[in-house]
Amino acid sequence: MNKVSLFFKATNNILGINERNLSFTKKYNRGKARRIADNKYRSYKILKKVGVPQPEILKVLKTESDINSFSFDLLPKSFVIKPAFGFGGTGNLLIFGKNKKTGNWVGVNGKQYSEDHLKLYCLSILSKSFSLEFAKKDDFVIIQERVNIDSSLKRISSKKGLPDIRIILYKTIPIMAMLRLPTKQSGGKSNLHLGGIGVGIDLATGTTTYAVTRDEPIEKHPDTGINLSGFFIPHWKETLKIAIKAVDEIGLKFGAVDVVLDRDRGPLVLEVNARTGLGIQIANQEGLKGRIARVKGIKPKSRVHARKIGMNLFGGEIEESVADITGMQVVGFIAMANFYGPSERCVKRVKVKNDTGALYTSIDRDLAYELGFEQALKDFDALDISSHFIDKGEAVTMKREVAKYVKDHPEILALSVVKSGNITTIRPKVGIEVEMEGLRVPITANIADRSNMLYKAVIGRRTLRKNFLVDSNKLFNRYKN
Amino acid sequence: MTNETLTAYSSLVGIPIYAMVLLGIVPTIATLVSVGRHIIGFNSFSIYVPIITTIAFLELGIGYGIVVASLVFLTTILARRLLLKFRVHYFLRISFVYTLVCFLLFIFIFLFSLLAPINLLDFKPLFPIILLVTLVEEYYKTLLKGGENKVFTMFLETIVISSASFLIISSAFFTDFVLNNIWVLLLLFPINLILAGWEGLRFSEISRFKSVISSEMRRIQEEEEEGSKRAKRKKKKSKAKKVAHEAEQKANKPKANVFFW
Repeated sequence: MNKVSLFFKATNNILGINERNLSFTKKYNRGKARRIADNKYRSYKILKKVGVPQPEILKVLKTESDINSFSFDLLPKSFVIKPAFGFGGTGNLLIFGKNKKTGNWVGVNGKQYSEDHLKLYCLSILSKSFSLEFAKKDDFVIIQERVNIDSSLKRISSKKGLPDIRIILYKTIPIMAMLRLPTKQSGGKSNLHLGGIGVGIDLATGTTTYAVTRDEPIEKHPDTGINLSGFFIPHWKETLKIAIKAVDEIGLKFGAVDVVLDRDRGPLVLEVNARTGLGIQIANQEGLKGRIARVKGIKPKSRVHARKIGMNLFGGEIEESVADITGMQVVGFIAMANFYGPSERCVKRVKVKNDTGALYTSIDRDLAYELGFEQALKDFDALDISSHFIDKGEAVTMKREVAKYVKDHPEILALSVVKSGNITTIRPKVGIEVEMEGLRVPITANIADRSNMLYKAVIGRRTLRKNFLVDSNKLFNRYKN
Repeated sequence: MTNETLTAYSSLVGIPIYAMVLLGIVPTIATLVSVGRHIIGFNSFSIYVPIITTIAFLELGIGYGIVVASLVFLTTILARRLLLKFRVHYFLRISFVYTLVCFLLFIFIFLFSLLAPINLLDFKPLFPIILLVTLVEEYYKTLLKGGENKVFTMFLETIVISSASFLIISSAFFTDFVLNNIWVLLLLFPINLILAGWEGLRFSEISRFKSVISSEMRRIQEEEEEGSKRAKRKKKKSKAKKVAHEAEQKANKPKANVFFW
């Protein structure tokens, strides 16, 4: 396939703003569902009725007189002020506590607010400074409790701010998810367009994969320095469960749910969005349309079924994160490998068996010929050693006798005695390189007659233990249909 | 009725020719802004700001127009920063910003006319400058929602779209063409209809999602290679099966007729 058609096929899998607005948001989300999702207070009431766990709304201020007559001292030490029709995190004001000396409320980056300042902020919310453009009703103020972040998320996130998990669902099937982390630069907000970090999540395991900030890849959190991939999201199944319940109750067929992890109460639905952002595709390095196409014809029988579909279809990227943590590459039991001999002679796409039951790596004679070991094999054959021995001791004795003839051989490193089943053989050992899943490593391998065997090469423990992790579920065609 | 007759007829009825040109400008700019947004991915301040800015450019000239537009924008940013320390109601804040912008603009024009050899106010109409000043609230609202970095980018993109619109509309070809072929404006309807249904990726999105595109291209290529290998293996298998079946049939074929006497 030429590159141009490949490019168009690839762009066809990516969801852009034009298509999202025309074919998804308007097509799949009824007006009523959209209106409910746009109004944070209305969606809170509906979800509370059906038992979806959420952070509590402490107070709602709808008019100027409500604001003027309200005392912020009645609130707990920390809370969040947000507009009911806000979007993208703009307009949210996080208050962490009170300064004992000044009596002012303390926000992100230590900024202080007096009660008057907070009231003026609420008044600016009423004047629609932070509202959605197409919000038909007047905006009003919601004061919500501030969540105590789960300790594991607190470790990798910035000190202030609230990390959350965004899950995109199509007809209640979770199709993509990302962990959003706040940074100092984003002012404690986790929204990507404000400078937060997005980390893709493997739906099967709830483990993070690829991290981006402002559409550029990063490996470590800029404030904490902690590696962002390979992190396991706690309560992952429960998180998916409440996200599915939230969109189902509100009636969104294509929406996004933001979930936060509370230290004591576990996953809580923060909000539901009818207009999902598209940066999640960069965090997951995959287009949304491609995933939607895979589930388009599926009608989940239940919410549990929807969750299982999402987890089964859209997992598997964990290998990269395992590789990043351990420095080893995950390979399957059967894999495709490239072999490199002396003078860079190469044999590509050889089907091999990664056998943790075998100690040494063994390659077939024909493969050795192709790699350029003709002379080595010729010289070894000239030693006229018996093809097999019944007694291992006999083989060892023979090996000691003939070893001196190959001591200074340019290609044969040594002779090895290998017991395979009831038969013991003496084999020449050579130095080659093997490449699997993009990792190329130098190894020593013995050459044997494997013409009657299924695999032309077997990779043994001595090679595997240093460089590769064998996943018995992994097939060498990782993108199985 | 020929096109020339239509123009002549309009003039006869009493519609000034420049009115017809004006009629052509606003929908054309609006269409260009839509193209800029949905095809290229420019994120200007709504559709209203580029229209006003382009009309101001037409009156002031593009150079002077960009200078005044930039001044209005920068003074809005400055005014907001000055007012950050003061806690005032939103509408009062906007009112302050307008007042500050006008004063700063006046000071600039005054100083410029002192230093420059000609008095600019004599040559430049005031109305387009006032039009540009009215955009302050639009800049301010976006500043509140998106922050300074976002607003700067949006302003630059607005200037680009407005400049492109100015160049197209001020060209003699456009004014002559519109003037003599009023029906051409009707083409804006189907163009806008096409844009209304445009679902493709914007150019800015192609740039934004380039890593995802590469990843998808790699994935599709691997799947295609695997698919073709599987097809070859299947073909080989079925061929071998066919050959084996034929051999079996041949072996089971009854021998030549033996006459039993």
